[in-house]
Amino acid sequence: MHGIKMKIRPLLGAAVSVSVLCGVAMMMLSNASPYVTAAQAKTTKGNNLHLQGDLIKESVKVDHQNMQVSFTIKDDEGQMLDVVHKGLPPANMGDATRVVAVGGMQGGTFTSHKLITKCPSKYESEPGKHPESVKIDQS
Amino acid sequence: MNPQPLLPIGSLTGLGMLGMVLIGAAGLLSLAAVFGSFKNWDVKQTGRLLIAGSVSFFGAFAILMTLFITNQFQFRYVWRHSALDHEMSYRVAGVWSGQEGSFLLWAICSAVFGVITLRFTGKYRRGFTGVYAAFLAALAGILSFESPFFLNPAGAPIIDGNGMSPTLMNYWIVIHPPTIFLGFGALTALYAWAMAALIHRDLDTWVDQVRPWSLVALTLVGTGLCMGGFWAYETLGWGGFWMWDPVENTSFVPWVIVACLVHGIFIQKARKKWHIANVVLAGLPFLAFGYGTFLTRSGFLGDTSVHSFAQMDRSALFILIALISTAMIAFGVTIAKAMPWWKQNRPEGLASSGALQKEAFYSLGTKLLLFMGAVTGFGMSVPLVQSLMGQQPKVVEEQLYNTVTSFAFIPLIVLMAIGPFLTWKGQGFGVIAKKFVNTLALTIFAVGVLMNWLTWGGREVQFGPLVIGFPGQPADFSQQTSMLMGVFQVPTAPWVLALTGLCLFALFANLGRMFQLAKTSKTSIGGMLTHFGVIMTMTGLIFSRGLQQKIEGIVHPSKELPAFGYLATVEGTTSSFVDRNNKVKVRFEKPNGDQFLAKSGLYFTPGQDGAPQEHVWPHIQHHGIYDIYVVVRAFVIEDGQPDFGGSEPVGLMPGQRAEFNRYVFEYKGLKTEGTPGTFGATFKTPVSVWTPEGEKSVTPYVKLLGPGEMERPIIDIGDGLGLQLDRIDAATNQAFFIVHYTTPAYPIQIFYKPLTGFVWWGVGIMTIGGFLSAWYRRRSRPEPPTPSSESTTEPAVKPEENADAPPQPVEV
Repeated sequence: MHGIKMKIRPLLGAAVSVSVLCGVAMMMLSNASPYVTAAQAKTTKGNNLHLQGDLIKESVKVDHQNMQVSFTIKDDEGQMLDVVHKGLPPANMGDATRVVAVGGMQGGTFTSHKLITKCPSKYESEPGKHPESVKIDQS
Repeated sequence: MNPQPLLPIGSLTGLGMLGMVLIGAAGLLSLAAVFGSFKNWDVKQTGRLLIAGSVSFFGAFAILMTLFITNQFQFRYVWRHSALDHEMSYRVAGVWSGQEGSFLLWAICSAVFGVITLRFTGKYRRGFTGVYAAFLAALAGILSFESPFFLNPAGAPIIDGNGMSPTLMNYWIVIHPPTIFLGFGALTALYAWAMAALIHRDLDTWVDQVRPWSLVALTLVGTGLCMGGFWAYETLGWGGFWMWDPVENTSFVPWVIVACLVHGIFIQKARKKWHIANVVLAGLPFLAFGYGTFLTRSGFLGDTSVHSFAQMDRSALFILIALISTAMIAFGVTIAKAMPWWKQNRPEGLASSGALQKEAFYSLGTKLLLFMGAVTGFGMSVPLVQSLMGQQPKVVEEQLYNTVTSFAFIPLIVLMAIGPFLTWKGQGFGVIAKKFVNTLALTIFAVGVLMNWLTWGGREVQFGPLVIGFPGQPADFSQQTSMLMGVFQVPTAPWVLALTGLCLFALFANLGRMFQLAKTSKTSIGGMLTHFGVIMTMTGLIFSRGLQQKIEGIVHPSKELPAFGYLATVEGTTSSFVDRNNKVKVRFEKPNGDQFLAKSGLYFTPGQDGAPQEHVWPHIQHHGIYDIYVVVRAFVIEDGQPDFGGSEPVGLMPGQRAEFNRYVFEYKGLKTEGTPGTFGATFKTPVSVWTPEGEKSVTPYVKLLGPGEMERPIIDIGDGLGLQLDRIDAATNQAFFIVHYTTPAYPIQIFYKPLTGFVWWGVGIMTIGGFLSAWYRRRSRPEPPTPSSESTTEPAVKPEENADAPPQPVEV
C-alpha cells in the first residue's frame, strides 16, 4: 500500500504540472495576437491585430493638432489599407520601410494604438554608401 | 572627439590578422583541452590548455578594442560600428555593439569565469575542463565565420567609419552589455559544474563549490536585466522599463532558473534531497540562454520582434545551433546515464511535515518561478511554434504575459513575505501569525497613507475612480484595468493599491526580520536584502506603470501647455539639430513659483533615403516621490523643409473674431486692388491682432500672378506666429485665415510617474544583497586543493544554515 502511494504521488504531480503547463500553453497560443493581411484585417474582429506591410512613404501624414498619423500600408499580397494611428509616430518612422500596425478596423480604416517600425539599418550597410550629412536649420 | 588619430587609419592591419589567428588558436587550444579531458590527461595540463585558450580570447578582444580605439576602419566591423567623431567611451563600446563583437564578448566573459572557477572545482576538474573547453571551441568556431576581423573590400572608402547606431549611443551601451554578459558567462560555469557533477558521480560536493557562483550569476544577470530596463526608460521615450520583448525574455528566463537553483541548494544542504533537481537547475539557465540567443539571432522571430538583428552568417548559425543542441542532448544523455547509478546511491532524504516550514516554501517558490520561466520561454517561442505548425504568425503581447505571470507572481510575493519567519521545522499557524502582527499593522498604516495621498485634493494629478476630484476638475472614471484578457474590468487605482499593499507587507516583513537577525546570522541578511530589493523594484514597477498619467500637446513660444499643475513653455534649443547633444529647453512653472527646466534631447541624423531621422532623449525630472518624464518630439519635415504646422483654415466674416493660443484676431473687411479675375489683382484683408504685448494691425493678401499662381505671404505677427490668407469665399464673403507656426512647434509627451525611485533603489539593494550573499557563502566554502583529500572533508552543515532558527534543534 505504502509502496504504491510512493510511486503514484510523483506521477500524479508530474501529470498535474504537465497538464497545467499544456493548458497555459494552449491558452497563450489562442490569445496571442495574430498577424493579418489587409484582407484578413477587414474580416477579423479584434483590437490587437498585427497588420504588417510596406509603408507607402508618400502617404504619411502627421497631424500634430489631433496627435495622430495616417498612412497607407501595402501588405504582402499587394493590397492597400489606410491606417490611422492614434498618437505620435515612433521616432524612427521617417526611416521605416516596413511597419506593423496593431489595432483593428473602425469603419473603412484600420485604427492602430501601437506602431512597430522596421528600419533597414544603415548601420549594417556596405561601405561606399555613406549618406550625406543632414541639413536642417533651426530657424 | 579626436581629430588627430593616434595611429594612421589602415596601419594596424597586421594586428587584426593576429586577432584572427588568436581566435583560431583559442579554438584549437580548447579542442586540445576537450581531447585531453577525454583521454584522461593530467588535469593540470588540460587546465593549462583551457587557460591558454581563454588567454587567446582575451588577446583577440584586446586587439579588437585597439582597432576600435585607433579607428582601423579597414576592418568591416570597426567601420560599421565606429566613426572618427565618437568619444573614447563609444569607441570602446563599439566592440560589443554588433553581432560579431557580442559573440566575442560572450566568449571572453565565459572564459573569465572558466579561468576563475577552474581552481575551485576540485575533483570535478576533468569533466569541468572538458565541458568548458568544448563550449569555448564552439564559440571560436562561430567567431571564425562571424569574424570581427574581416577586412572591408579593397577600394572601399575608409576615411571615416559609418558610426554606431545613434539609438545605442549613450552610457548604457558602455556598462549594460558587459554586466549582463558577465552574468551569461557565469551561466557557462554553472552548466559545466552540473555536467561534471554527473560525470564524476558526486552530486553533493559540487553544490558547496557552485553556491557562491550561482549567487554571482544571479546577481549579475539580474542587475544586467534591470540596467536594460533603465536603458529603455531613460532613452526610448515610451516611459516604461519592461515590455517582454524576446531579447529581454532571453535573459529573464535564465535569471529565474538560477534563482530556483539558489533556493534548491538550501533544500539539498538541509534535507539531502533535490540532488538531480539542482543539477538540472544549474544546467538549464545556460541552455535557456543559448536557446534564446538562437531564437533572437536566427531570424526565426522574423518581424515579430521589435529588435531587428542582422542575419547571421549561415555557417556561424549552423555552429550555434549545433552548439546548443549538442549541449542540450549531452545534458539529457548524461543525466539519463547517471540515473541508474543515482538510484543505487541515493541518500535517504530527511522527511519534513507541515506547510509552514522552509522546505515547503522553497519548493513551492521554485515551482512558481519555474512556471514563470516556462510560460515566458513558451511565449517567446510562439512565433516559432506557429510557423512550425504552418500557421500565420502570432505574438504574445505584454498584457498576456502580465496576465499569465501574475498567477505566479502574487503567490511569490506572499512566500517572500512569510518565508523569513519560517524555520526548517514546521510551526503552527498561530505561532507564525503572531510574528506578523506588527508587519500587518505597519502595512495597513502605509496603505492608508498612500490612499490619502491618492485622494488628496490639493495635488495636481488624479488617479482615476479612487479620486474624489478637486475644485474645477472632476475625477476621471475612465481608468480601468482589464483583467484576465478582458474578461472583466477593475478600477485601476484600487487594484494597484492592493498590489502595492501586498508588496509593502513583504517589504516590512523582510526589513523587520533583517533587523532581528542582524547579529545572529549574516548569511540570511544577504538573502533578505535581495528579496527586499526585488520586491521594492516590483512595487515601483507596479505603481509607476499602473498609475502613470500622460499628457500630449504642442509647445511653442506663443502658448503655454498645462501639465500636472505646471505650465510648460519652450525656450529654444541648446545647440543645432545636427548635434547629438542638442536639447530642447522647456520651462515648467507652477503658479506658486516652483519650476524646473526640462532639457529633452532632439536631433536628426540622415536616414536611409537621406531624409532626416529623429532621435529623442527624454528628460526625467526626479522629484521625491514621482518623476516628470518629458519627451520632446520632432516637427514634421517634408522634402527637407520643416513644417511646424498651425491652425486649420478659419473662416471669418468682417467684424468676426477668432482666437489662437493667446492671440485674438479680428477681420476688418475686404479691400480689393485691381480688377478681380485679372492678373495682378490683389485681395487685402486687414486684421487686428491682440497679442500679449498689445494690439497691432496686419494685412494678409492674395495676389493673382498667373494661371494657378498666387502670392499668399505669411505675415509675421510675433512670437513665432504668422498669419496667412488662405482664400476668400465669394459667395459668403468669408475670408479664410491660417495661423502658422514660423518657429519650431514641438509635439511633447509629458508623463507623471509616481514611485519610480523604488525601481532604482530596489535594483541597487538587490545587487548589494546578492553580492553580499555570494561573499558570505564564499567564506564557508571548503576548498581542498587535491582531489584525494576531498572525501575526507565531508561538508558539514554550516552553522549559518540553521542560525536563523536558534531555538530549533539542529536537525541534520
